[in-house]
Amino acid sequence: MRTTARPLTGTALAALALGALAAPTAYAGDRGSLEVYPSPASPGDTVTVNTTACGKDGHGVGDAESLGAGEFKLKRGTQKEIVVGRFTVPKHTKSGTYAIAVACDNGRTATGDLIVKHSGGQSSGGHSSGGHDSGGSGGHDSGGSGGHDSGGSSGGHDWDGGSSGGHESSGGHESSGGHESSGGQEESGGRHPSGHVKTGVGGSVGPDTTQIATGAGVLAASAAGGLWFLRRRASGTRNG
Amino acid sequence: MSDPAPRPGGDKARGKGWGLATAAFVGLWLIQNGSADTTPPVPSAAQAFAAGPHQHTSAAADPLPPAAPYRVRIPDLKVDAPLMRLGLASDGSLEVPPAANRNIAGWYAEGPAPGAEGAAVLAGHVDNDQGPAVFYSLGTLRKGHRVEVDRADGRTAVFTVDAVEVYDNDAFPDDKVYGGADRAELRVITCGGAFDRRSGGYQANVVAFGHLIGVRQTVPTAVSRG
Repeated sequence: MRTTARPLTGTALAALALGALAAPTAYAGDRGSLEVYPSPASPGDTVTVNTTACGKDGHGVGDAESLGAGEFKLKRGTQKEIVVGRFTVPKHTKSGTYAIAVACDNGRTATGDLIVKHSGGQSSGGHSSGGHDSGGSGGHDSGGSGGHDSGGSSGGHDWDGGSSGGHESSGGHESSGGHESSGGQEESGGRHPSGHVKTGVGGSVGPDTTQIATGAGVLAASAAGGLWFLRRRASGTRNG
Repeated sequence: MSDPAPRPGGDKARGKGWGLATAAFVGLWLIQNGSADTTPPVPSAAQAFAAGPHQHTSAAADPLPPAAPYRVRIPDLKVDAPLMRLGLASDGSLEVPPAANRNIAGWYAEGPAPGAEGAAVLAGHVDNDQGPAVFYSLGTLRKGHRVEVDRADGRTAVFTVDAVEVYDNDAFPDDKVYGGADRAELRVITCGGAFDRRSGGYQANVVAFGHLIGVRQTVPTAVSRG
């Protein structure tokens, strides 16, 4: 509960602050959301934010004063309608939730939250709460042992329900383990699967009864139509 | 449909005759074609990489940090299935989800996450002994179709399909499918091709290739109702 309450408070504050700032403009009510990642981030991390609020080929100025990172610029990203900006979390930043705001040059604004956590405390917290499903996006810990039979049923099941609980813990993973694991895989070439997958037993192979039935229907209809047509033609000739 | 019979009717009658003949032919064809073994759809050559210039190559979006995926959607195929984690089987091939569940796919959890840099691998059954399963229609996927993957970090990674190819089981291009990529890419794999009961079922794999073109926030970080 606390974890959800905090971002909400932060967002509400940011929204209030921005509301006050943006009140004079015509777009005052028109706020977009701001994507901030990674979040949680650790001091020293480069944080990327992006938003669609600035419109096509837009620009904007971001405000990360809340954590002492000053202002930063947002420019068009790889997609036309998205602007992207980056800033660095200052070394001395304390753990907490910080509001990030963006003012676009079209007058619109966007807000988002950055959660800052210190890697030390954060990784232990992530592990204890994260449970073993969501904690391992890189799959280092599974190592093929968990993934077998039990993983089949419980894994699938947990993921369905795990989306809410998984939010916080996977976030924690991003900043600490995430870099290591993905980097390691790509450089070492990792363990790639080899060969084809065995994902079919042929249960869908066989005569297509629907198609046969349709065919029979079409054939019957055309036969009936033919009879009717011939009769009409016969009577037509007689009359004319 | 009740036109008076003797109109200047020659053309009309001939037209009707042809129509009926065509219908009869179609009916016969449907019956005959339906009686043969049907195999799951196979992508046309036009969906392969080799086929012409990439039409609308959408710009690649910046890769996301890794986060485990939990659901995959392919709107054009009406696919909407949970994802489980997959490892490697003892022979080094990719594990597959339990066949009993017809609507589950899997993610190779020791490889890149969907949306992160590299080629994330998803696999699912084309059928089980009950009939078609989650990726039965994968062969009908076309370039430009979307594949969406929900991730545990509250983001949905949106991919566009670059190609759909078919590889014979004994000539499966490991590097092309499982090899690294310098952007966020996706592979969706299932069985396909000819079906031969005597030599172990499906003779090929259907592989869809895609790359990340966008990200949606599924669990919004900011409350932003205007």
